[in-house]
Amino acid sequence: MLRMKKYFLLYGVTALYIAGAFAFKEFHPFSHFPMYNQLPNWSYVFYFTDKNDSLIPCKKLNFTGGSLGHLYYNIAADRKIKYGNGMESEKELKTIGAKMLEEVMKQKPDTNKLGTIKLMRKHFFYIGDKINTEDKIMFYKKYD
Amino acid sequence: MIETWNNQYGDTEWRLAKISLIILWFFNVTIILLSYNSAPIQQGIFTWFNFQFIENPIWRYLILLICSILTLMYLFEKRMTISTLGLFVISVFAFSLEESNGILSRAGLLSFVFFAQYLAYLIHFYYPKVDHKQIRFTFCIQAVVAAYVLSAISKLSVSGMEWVSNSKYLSLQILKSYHYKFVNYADFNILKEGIDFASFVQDNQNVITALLTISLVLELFAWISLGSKKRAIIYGTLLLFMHIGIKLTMDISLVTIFGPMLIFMVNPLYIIWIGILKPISKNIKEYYIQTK
Repeated sequence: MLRMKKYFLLYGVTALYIAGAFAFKEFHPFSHFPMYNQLPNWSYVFYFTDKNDSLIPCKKLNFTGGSLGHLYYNIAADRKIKYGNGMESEKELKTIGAKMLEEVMKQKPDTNKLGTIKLMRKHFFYIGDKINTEDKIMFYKKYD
Repeated sequence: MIETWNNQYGDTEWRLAKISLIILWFFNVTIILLSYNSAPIQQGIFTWFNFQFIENPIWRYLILLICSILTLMYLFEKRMTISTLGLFVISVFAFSLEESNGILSRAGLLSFVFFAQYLAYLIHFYYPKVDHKQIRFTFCIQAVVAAYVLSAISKLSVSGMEWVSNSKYLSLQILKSYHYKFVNYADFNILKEGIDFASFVQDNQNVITALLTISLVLELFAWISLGSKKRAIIYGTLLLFMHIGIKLTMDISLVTIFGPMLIFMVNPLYIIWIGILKPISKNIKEYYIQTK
């Protein structure tokens, strides 16, 4: 009994959290901490451009580039859209993009003078030993 | 420094760890409660119940008020079972709300350390012979260790040893990280830095493979730090170097994981106090007595 108590005090919370993570998976506060658990041969970056196709800094929209990435993967998972390495169709990109823009606009950024806002996806991928990029329009909307 | 280098956690150590933790936590939770008023992509407890009342800002301000009261109770060591459990519940609510808005800050550990403290105080309540001054600290370290071990297991189960051997693909992640930073401010110097660094990674794959191996081993064997304060400080320092490496290469901070680790394993505020502030105040005191 004493030994059990000792082991519980020494490892109990570690065991409890690991068991919780396996039982509940990604359910806050439990997590497998899957960040960067794979190094795929592709990556995405999302950004906005204005009516002149110039980059709109995310900070101007009260958002961050990293949060845009999180949004993309979460919305895709929520809509059960498979993603990665450019496999998404134009229609799927449009669906995700519309929802992403809707979420960004909830931060009430100043859209004055921006005109048409385009949400873009930059795709990095390897061909042989060379890194290639491809930019695609996901969604656009006119703001007056 | 002798006070740090023993195997017992003292009251000052605890107080300074609590201050560091609550600053980190309160800052994050306040931003969430002021930023989000709905849960469009329901995650965590929001899949059980929609908590529609958060649309009304009065409720969110009320939660912030409760946060402030619990924070004061926690800092002044009042009703610790209630305050730690309360902080845990609000933490789960707030970070689940953030996740339900598509933002994954991976704050599970930051929430769970309050539950670990609650357990410590609860055990002490039922078994007063158990020294809560030690387990309130060691339970938090156990939670930290669980997070790092789980992270290593996740890498090994999803990618296996390819996680290490695919080091050339790290350059794509580096490009991504620097581009994310670039799109925040439209600063072309950031972009140039990212491209240069990605090229360096491509050209030095052996170095990158070695660094990835070291970080995977560090995460997997984090449990070594359990059971000894000295081991926890040394291991925490190694993990600190790993996080500095991640920050420098990929511009990723992982504050909600790195923060609790640093606070409970290394406790920098206490080291500053014991190594710099305390000797200075002692010298001033001695000088004052001598001149008097």
